[in-house]
Amino acid sequence: MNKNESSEEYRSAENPSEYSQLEQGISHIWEIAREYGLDPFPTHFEMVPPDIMSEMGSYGIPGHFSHWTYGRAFHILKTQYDYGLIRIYEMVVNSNPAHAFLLDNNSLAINLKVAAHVNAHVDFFKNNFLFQETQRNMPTLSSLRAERIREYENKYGTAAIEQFLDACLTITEHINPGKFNRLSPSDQLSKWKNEFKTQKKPKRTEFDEIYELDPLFKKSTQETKPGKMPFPLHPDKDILGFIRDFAPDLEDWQRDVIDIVREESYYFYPQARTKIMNEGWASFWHAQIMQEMRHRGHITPAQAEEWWIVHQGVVQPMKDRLNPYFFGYVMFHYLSEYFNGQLTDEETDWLRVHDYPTYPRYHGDFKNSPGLQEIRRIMMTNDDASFIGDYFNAIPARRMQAYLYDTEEGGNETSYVITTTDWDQVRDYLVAERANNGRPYIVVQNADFEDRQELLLHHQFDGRELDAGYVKKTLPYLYYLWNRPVHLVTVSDDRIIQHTFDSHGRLSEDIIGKVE
Amino acid sequence: MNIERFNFTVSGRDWELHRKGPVDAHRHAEKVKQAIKDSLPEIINHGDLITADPNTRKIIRIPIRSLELPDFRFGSGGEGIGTGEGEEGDVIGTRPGEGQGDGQAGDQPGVEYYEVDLTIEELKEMVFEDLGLPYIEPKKSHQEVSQDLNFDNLAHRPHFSNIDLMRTALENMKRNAQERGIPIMGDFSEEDIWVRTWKETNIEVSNAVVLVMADGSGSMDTDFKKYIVRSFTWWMVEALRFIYPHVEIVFIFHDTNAYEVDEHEFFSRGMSGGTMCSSANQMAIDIIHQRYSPDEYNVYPFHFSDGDNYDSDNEVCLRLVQELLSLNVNQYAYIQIGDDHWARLMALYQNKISHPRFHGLHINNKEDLYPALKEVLDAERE
Repeated sequence: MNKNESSEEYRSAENPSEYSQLEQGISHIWEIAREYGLDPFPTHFEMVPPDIMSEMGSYGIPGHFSHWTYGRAFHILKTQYDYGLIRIYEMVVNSNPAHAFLLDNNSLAINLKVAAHVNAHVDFFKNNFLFQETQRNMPTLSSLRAERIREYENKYGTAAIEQFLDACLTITEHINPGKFNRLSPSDQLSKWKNEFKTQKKPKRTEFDEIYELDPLFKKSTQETKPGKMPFPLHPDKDILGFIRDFAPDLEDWQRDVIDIVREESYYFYPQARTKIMNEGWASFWHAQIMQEMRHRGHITPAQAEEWWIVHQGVVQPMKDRLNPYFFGYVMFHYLSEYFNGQLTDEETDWLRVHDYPTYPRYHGDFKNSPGLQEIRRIMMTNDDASFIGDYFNAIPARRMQAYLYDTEEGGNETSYVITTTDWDQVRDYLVAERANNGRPYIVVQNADFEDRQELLLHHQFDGRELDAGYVKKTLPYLYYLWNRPVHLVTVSDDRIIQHTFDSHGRLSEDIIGKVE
Repeated sequence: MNIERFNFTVSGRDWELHRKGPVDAHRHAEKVKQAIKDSLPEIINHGDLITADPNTRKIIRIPIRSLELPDFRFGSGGEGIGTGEGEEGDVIGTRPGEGQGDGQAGDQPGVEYYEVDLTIEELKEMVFEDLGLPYIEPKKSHQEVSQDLNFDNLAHRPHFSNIDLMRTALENMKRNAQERGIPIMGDFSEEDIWVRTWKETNIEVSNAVVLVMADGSGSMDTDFKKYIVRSFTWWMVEALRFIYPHVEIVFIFHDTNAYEVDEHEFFSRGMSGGTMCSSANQMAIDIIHQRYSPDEYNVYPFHFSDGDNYDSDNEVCLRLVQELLSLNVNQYAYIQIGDDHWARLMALYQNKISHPRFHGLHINNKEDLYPALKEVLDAERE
């Protein structure tokens, strides 16, 4: 993008007639969206130059605290923009009122398309079940937190804060999504003591059979010495929360920084868990709304062509990865047609043969169709895993030509080879990949390991091995937080491995058992 | 705009005052620089850096693994999902195999590389900073004198090969004006003719040659040892370039035999087998006799070794080093990298040679490098 051109565009965006055109257009979009039943929060649009857009895209929330990792993301985005490789069209923040950013050097047609996309995102944020607990005043909170971190920097030095943030951010994903609130440390302890006293031997439950499938389960129960209460009494998945509550040597400001990182992690968690649905929903609706804009004559044929070209770029299939916009777009399209009985004969035959319910062909207006009601219900009550697990089948699989591939080493090059095009294998792969947001499930097993206040983590093995190199790089950061030796037990090559980072700064790896 | 009805607002505030990106990006850039510094021994081990023409702005492209915070993650099995045309068994794409540090950035998602372009000048600056070496101040030392011709004089003598036409024409016109009253050209006489002539001036031309000898045995083949050899030589050559306009470098690599090689081979060749340091010294003597007479060149032989040498060879070495010193080389340095207490050669040299231009130097770690260089260069200044 030519610099002069963009600054010229910027000036023209400040020109009132340009603004009123945009406002006019967005009001049409809001009207159409409301007719289709979309129900967003009040939304504030901000027109910004590309540089600011790159910055917002890398920090995720306006007013977010400083850290070099965001600087890195910003540098990459900015460079890619400068070389014309990438263009972020839209950035929207889950808050009430919602904040959205538009590029001031985009044409009117493109910004209208983006506004339609934003409307559906905000509708999703407001109505999907996973987002009901999110902090909707996040931009304000985020600025206040950034202010606190700045104060700590002034007080303890930027280097100390950076080092501590580095450590917190390495384990930022390790929270327990269903459980944000924790009792105070002393309440937790007395609750555990009480529980342990009144019921020394945990009753065997019907779930134990499932737990026993975990190769580490037996080991962990043997470890408990009789008479001594395990600490924590129950394995704790919220590693950040556990460290905040029980790490022996943390200062108050450090607990506060952990809190900040942890609260953000809870805030962003539902977004990671609904990436496909959210982008699919927004892409489905921007297309729907913009077509309606054309029908009603709010945009010209040339403008219609313009947004359509950008839309094609956004929802294009990718050979080597899943494009969430494309996947979600195809899914919602399929589902609306499915519930409206508007599939092709071939597709309907497949459904009949495989005992799926089919629906009578609907001939009326889409606005009042059962399909619209159904996709709205699906949008509100699913996450990506259940969305794919319940609704992905041979029809969308064929429409998007989905396959799984694997790498094959040969000579001096690596080939990517399609291993299957079976829709059920694709579905199972996608659902499995989404377990725990695609992150390893790791719990605090014992925080008084070897009776020396050492921290023992367990990786709950599901067939996917951890990257040992990354384990070795991450443990030192955990040591820094816990200030005692840290251990991680996992499975590799059918052996149970214990990684350790000890107080001499040494990493070690011991085989402590075999998987039977 | 009717906000109550439609529930949205549009504005174009100036966000410049709320920015953090550039500051944090700068912090990231600092960390990248630190990462480069941390892998300097590795980086300066590829590419011919010492013999690169100091006047060209050669750029070295350094791939460094993108800086990222680690986390617990799954090992990537290489499998994935895609969308597009294709049946089971079809190849959807290929990627070259693992390159050997040739800057081939991976195009696999998840493996990010930063490519940092550095000029030799910047790299040098980093190496010097890393090793605590100062920039070198120019200091005149040995100067050889040679003669040069400067056409900066005129003579009134008929020697037509160097005739100065302009001056001759001018003189002719002047004479015509004087004699006939008209300043025209013509009727040349011998007294009009001026020729350009020269004065013999003495200018300082000087040459130096650095003879770098290194033991190629397996025990010398570590990044650290190569880093020391390379940075010692590099810094020395830089320092000598301040003194002499022309510095040549000869690389001699040896096991039980010596070979003259180029820079690339010198640093990339590894060899196992025995070690006879005398072979390199003998070759240095031969090369000096053949090409670099100490009457014409300032000669700086440096021998790097880890101290491991056949005992029977030590006496031979001693004799050869003494011979080199008697050839009037400028400074001879024997540099032992690593702390091998059994190394007899150093002890022998230090006991038997008291020549002021001989230096027996120990380098065990980065910190020893600067004092070692200083010793050689200080001796040079005296």
